[in-house]
Amino acid sequence: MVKNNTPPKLFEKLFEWFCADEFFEELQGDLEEAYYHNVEAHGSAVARNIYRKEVLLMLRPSVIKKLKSQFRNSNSNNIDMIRNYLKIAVRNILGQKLYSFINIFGLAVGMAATILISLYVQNELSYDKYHEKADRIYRVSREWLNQDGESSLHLGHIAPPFAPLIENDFEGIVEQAVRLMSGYGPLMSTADGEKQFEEDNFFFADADVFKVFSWKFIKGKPETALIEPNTLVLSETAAKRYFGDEDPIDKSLTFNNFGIEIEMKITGVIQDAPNNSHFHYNMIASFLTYENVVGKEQLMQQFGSNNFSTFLLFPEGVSPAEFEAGVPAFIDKHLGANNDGNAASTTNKLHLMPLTDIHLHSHLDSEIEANGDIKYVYTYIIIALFILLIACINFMNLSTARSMKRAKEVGVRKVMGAFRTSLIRQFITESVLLATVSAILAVGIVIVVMPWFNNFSGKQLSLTTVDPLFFTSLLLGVVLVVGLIAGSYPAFYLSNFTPVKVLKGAKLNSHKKVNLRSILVVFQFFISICLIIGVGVIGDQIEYMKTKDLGFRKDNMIVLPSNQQIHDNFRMIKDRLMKQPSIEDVTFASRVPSGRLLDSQGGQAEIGGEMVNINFRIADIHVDHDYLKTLDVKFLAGRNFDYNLASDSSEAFVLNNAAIVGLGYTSSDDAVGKKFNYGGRNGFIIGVVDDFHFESLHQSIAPMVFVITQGRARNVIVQFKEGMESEASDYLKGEWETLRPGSTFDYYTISESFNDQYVAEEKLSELVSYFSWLTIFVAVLGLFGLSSFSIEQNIKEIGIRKVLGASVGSVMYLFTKRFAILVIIGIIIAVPASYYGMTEWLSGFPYATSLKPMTFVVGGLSALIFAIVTVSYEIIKAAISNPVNSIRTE
Amino acid sequence: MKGTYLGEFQEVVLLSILILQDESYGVRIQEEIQNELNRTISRGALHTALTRLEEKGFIKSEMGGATEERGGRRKRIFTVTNLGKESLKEARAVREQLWTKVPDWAVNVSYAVW
Repeated sequence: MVKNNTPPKLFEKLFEWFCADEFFEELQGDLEEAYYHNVEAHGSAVARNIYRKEVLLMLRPSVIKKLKSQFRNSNSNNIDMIRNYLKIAVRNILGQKLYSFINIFGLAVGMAATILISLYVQNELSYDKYHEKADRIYRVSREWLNQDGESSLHLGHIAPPFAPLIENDFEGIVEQAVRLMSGYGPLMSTADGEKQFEEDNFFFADADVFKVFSWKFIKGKPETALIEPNTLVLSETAAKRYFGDEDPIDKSLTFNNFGIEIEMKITGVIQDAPNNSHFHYNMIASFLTYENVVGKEQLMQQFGSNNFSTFLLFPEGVSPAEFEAGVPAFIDKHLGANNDGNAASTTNKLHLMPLTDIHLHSHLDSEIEANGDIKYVYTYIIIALFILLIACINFMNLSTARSMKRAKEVGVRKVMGAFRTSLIRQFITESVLLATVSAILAVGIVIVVMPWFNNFSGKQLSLTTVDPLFFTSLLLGVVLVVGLIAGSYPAFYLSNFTPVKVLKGAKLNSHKKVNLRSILVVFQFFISICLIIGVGVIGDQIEYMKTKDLGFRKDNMIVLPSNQQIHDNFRMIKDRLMKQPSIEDVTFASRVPSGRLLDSQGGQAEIGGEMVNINFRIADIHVDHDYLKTLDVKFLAGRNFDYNLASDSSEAFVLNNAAIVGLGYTSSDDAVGKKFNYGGRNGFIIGVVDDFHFESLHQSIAPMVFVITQGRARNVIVQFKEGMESEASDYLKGEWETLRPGSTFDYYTISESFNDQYVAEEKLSELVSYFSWLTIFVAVLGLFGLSSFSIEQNIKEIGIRKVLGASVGSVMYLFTKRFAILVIIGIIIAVPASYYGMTEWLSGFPYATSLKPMTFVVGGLSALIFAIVTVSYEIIKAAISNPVNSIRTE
Repeated sequence: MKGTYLGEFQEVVLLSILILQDESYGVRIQEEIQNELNRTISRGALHTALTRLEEKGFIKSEMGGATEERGGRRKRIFTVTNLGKESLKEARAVREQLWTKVPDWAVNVSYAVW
């Protein structure tokens, strides 16, 4: 016989399970007979499939066991018994108010955390999935490699010629390629000038953008909305802001930015970008509008202008791999060879990322908006599970600890003829009931905490908008999992009692033995302590990043936006500002500390008397003469830019130490005076500054070059006198309102901006700290239950000890010790575990704090103190009570 | 009367039982119908029909012998009761009466041509 020549086992079992007894024999026989016929006629594979199908088609009322009849036939008092189980369960819950409260409340807290985090995670995972073609949309990113093949820069934006070239060269492989480019916060105004706002989420987009993304049109047609120049589609909110309830179609708004003014006709209104989008728009203007300003020819040459988010739509059934395979040839075709003669594809790469992965998995050097992080999602899930687990452990521990109370009940039930299975069923019914009550409470907690959680997570979650199916299955799942997991251990434990022993009153388990209960308590505290230490280390790291000496003066610096008019009159404006008593210094630059260093160009440096190509990325910053002086950066060698030397504006370079080291100069003194070409400018290195943290501490210090360039002053930096921020900003507000009419005045300070970089860590720290306190709270709650129970059990022992002369202190010591040992074991395991875990976490930062022993001591001690304080409440109460009360009764 | 109503499938099942005589048990009936009517039916669907027929009293059944092919399980042999036979005949009579009323030309298959 062939091995497979029997009906599929699983389906045989399944059938046996659901088929009514009275039909089982004949039907099973028929199925088997038919199966062997089919094996002969069609072979065993087909026969097995037919068998499976036949079994599934047996799922009909005439075949399936009747639920009621099962109860009636097998055990006529089954329903009564279930009623009895519920009654006993309710009595137990009400009769043991303290334990029930600890159980229910602990579970509810755990469940609430699980529900909240599930909603959060579901939301995080849902990003961009609402697009009909979401699974076929990919974003193109561009990566630059240095000559060693290391990644030097990876941008989520690419150059404007790529999209049309891709559409052309990959015909049949790529269905659509669309570009979106930010309008960099233009000032938009209605025709009458009545309403004007700076629009942050303004994009220029190819007309086909609506074929790729499925945002709903409320007015206008997606096919034609953006096919003409100077057309504009508004989001619902934006339309309302400018036009109220009027129909905005065919009305116009005037665009004003980069010194360009364009009147745009409104051709459509679309839904607001859903919250779970990785970028949000207020306005989308036609790409032709932008193309007309720059010139199409010109735009197709701008391979260095990487400001265009580019998305590809693949036809159904086409694998993106087909595109990726063609990319190197595509790059060589259009970018040609590098200066050194190597093919462009050796240093330029295009990568694809599925649209739906961007939010959680994309952390490139440029993104449209800051993305989430899958690591945090995992962290949150783990924390939620920990809390739930700790609450389940409470439940298990309290149930088994109280087993003495239930032992007699179990004994009597068994004597009266209860099977072990029915006892297991009873205890599981009880735990599911408790879990259900907890779940109801948990939903209440979620409703109360939701606004706070939203505020904190920046989400707009709500129980009313969540998919009801998801929510019910989540709730049901939590109840069942908790009910079964937490209930099964006590159920098996309790149902295992031997009636004779328990009825005789034998002591079930002595507390001296290492039992599962102690292990679980150790485990609870292990987790809680790990989390507390984690919070401490995260806090240390944030503190470290915020307070580390960055190598320049970051205090008292205001950054203001610039425009053409400010460019043109910079010297004059500067002189005027400098006269203000509240202002100390004014300078401008293309990039401001705390921002990213995204610009770089190629060049040569004189090394050993020869001009050598620079084979790594040196980021450039365009500044004026006072920039380095204002930032108070330390010079290692050479000098700063000098107003009196005209040549400094055209041929002087100041490099940082990282650049000097990268170039291979022996010392900074060695570098000064050497020839240096960069971005088409030939000159000399005039000075070397010490490394300072221009970017946030998430980044290693990059090689930098400072050059003087007029006209690239995107930012004006004003240093105000200590303590005079409000005077300075008041004055600047007036000044800027005349210089940038219509714009709102907003500025930021560099130190704030640096701190803003650490928001992700701060949120993580805040969340982990709340939840770690929750875990310790739940764990302590459980310990409280266990200790008060232990006291209750040993109240006579305490009484006798006291009668025999034991002091309150010695009684306390004796009982506290039992629990303190468990916590101390927890600490002993938690310290190395969290040491290892947090070392891993810190290794993700180029500049990390060292692990402080104090953090571990605080974490361990606080858990221990909490535990002892909780435990001693009941112990003190018992220890100081009059022994007469406890031992006079038997 | 609703109880005596005979569905098309039930009629086929009854007839198959009559054809198969002593061999009329689940799989054989299923195979008979599949062969004669050239359509696939599941054993589950057949079970439902048999249950209904037995409830109406058109058939009765008894457990028969086991064969090795069936893993030693017994089969249920169905026989048509007198009531079942009656209602089969009645169903046939009704149809034949209806057929006599149908004019010949009405059943000539015609194809529209234009």
